[in-house]
Parts: sequence; C-alpha cells; structure tokens
Amino acid sequence: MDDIQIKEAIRNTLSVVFEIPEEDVTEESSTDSIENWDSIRHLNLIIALEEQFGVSIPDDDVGNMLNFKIIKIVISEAINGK
Amino acid sequence: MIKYGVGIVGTGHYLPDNVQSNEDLCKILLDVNPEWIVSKTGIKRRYIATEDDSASNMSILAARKVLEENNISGEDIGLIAVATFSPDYMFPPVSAKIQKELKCTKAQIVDINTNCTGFITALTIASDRMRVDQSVKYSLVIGVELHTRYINPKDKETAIFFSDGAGVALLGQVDEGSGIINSHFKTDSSTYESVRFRGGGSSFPFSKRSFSPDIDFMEMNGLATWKQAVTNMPILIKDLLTKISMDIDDIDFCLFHQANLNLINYVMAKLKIPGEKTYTNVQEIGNCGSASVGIVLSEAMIFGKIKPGNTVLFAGVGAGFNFGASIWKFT
Repeated sequence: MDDIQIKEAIRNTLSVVFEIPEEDVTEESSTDSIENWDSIRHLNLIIALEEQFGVSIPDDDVGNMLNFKIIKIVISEAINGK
Repeated sequence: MIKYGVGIVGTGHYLPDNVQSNEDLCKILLDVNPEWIVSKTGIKRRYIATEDDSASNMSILAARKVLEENNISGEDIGLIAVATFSPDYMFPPVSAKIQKELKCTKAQIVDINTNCTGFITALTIASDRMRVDQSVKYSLVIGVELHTRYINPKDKETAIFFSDGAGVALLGQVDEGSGIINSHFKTDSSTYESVRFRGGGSSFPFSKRSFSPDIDFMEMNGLATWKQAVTNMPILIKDLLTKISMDIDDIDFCLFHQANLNLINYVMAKLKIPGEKTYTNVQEIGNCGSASVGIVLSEAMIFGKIKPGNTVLFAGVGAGFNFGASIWKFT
C-alpha cells in the first residue's frame, strides 16, 4: 500500500466514522475542525482503522491520534511493522 | 509449600432503594439531556444512598447475606478487606465496624483505598495473605462506596456517572490449581491531580475553613481520565497475560470496572474479545467506584454468566491513576 492509498483509506475511514462527506476530510483535519470528533467516536475510529488496515495500533498512540497527519504516521508505521 | 488455591466461593451485593433516572438527574443538570448521558456513558440510571444509608451498613447487609448463603459464621472469617474511598469516618477503619457487627472476632481488618481499582486490589491482598497463612481459611472482600455525598449534582463531569452500593466476595481455600492465578498493577501518577476529592484531607482540614465547592466536591478531568484509560487498560491486560504466559483466548469471561460502557466496548474490541465474554451493568447501575467490580461479579454469578472451570479476568482503572487486573479460575 503506497502513501496515496493510505491517505485515501484514512480519508474514507474518517468520513464514515464521523459521518461527514469524504471531500470535507483533508490532511489538515483534526479534532478542532471536525465537530463530531468526540472521545467516543475517537474510540470507534481507532477500531475502524485497525480493521481497515489490518494492523494493531499501539496503545500508547491511541490518545495522540487527534489529527490526520499523526494518524497517517501511526498507520504507516503499523503497516511497515506488520 | 501450600497445597491449596484461594478462590471466590461466594458473592453478593447491596444497592440502596433510591434510584435516580437520567430524566430525574436532568431536572437538576440543565445543560444535558438523558440521551446525551446514554450516548456518552451508556448509563441510564444510578443508585443514590438515602439519609439512613452508611458505608458500613451497606457492607454489613451485603456481607451478612453472603455468610448466611454459604453457611459461614463470623467466627470463621480470618480477614476483612474493605476497598473504599468513602468510609463512614476518616478513622477508625470501616472494616473494624463491619468486624464488630458481623461478630468476626478473629478477623484481621484492613481498609484499602486505590479508588475504583480497590476491589481488584483487595482481592489480591486478601488472597496473598491467605496463601501465606493457612490459618486464614476465609476472607471477606468488600467494595463499598457512598461517594454520591461528595458529588456536586450540578457538575456533569461527575454527576452523570456515580452510584452508591456494596459488593462482596467470600474467599476460601479451594483445590490446588484453582482460584487466583495472578494479578498485575500499574500506576501512572503523571496526572495524579486529574481526579480528586480534597475536602477533609489533612491538607484541607475543616477546622481551618468553611465549605467550599471547589474542595468539598469530587473533581474529575474527563479528558485526562479518558486518555489514561484508553491507553493503559489494554496495556495492563496484555502485560498480565504475558507475565503468566497466557493468551487472551485463554480467558473465558471478563469483568471490568463499570465506569463507562463505551470504554468497556473499546477495550473489548481493542483486545479482540468477543462481546459475549463479558457482562455489564453500568447501564442500569452506573459507576459504583470500589464496589463496581464486586457488584458486577455478584450479578454475573446470579445470572449464571460464570461457569465452574471458567478462567475470569477482572480489570479496572481508578484515580491516581491506578490500573489493576487479576485472573481467577472458578470452581
């Protein structure tokens, strides 16, 4: 999976979990810009990302994945570490 | 060399008569609605102690029933371990009053405060003691909380969660290989101040001040609590399993501190534990602090969720932040 595919899949997952159009999700998206991004949906996001990419997200990273860019870094590391 | 295990041979619980629905609470808590509380926590109602309730009385009612059901007399009890952060008095320990009222004249007593991890801590301490000293044949492990008297009913960070009640486990000697397998604890004190109740402590004595809502009600930083729990709960459970060379698939059933249904669902999903391997009552009872694990265990036993031979995981998080997990093989 290359970087573009990873970003597209993250964008799709955020769109589904937060129930917003995919075009509203950008690389600048974060808890500040997505109104629905609350603590409960964040937990749903972590589980959805694990299912989407078939990875296990390190528990220490869960609380820090509060914007698109950090999610991308964590997912890329998880894929490479599989 | 001991030739026996220490197992949970009886359970019970007590809840006060006074039930508070989300609708009732929202008459006081005006900036939220019942549906919001359910979506954030899963909680639909709470049990609030009446003026006549006390931590000791709730404990005694629950424990007496457990002793009667198991044909154990007070004289048979070698240890009473009470997990609580809302005892009757600062001292003497509430366990002393329970010892007196249940006529457990031979029992050592100890109060334990590790906040909501208290019941798991008390189970571990009591079973450790019983494995060292064979003369301690039975222990009463009690989790009790009457902490709604510390809760500001207008503070949505706390008022939506907390309930009062007592949960009891009777520990006894069981066949070697059964009973407690091991426990694991972890404390991340970096956010020590995030959940606290300062009033009445020696740094905030009543003799030097008048009532202050900032000090005399429980305070909770919800975001810090959430971050601690989602990070450390899965880590703690994995560390325990690694320590004893077990896999999550070896666990037949899980009982968690009933803090928030969303947190429990997350931990289950993160560890890939099927939903049918747990029982929750946070929806109907709320968060009973140190009593929570004892009460959910008691209900799980009543409803036949735990079968003889099952390997059961208990796990919880409490202020501090304290994390505790323990694995027991039931007989």
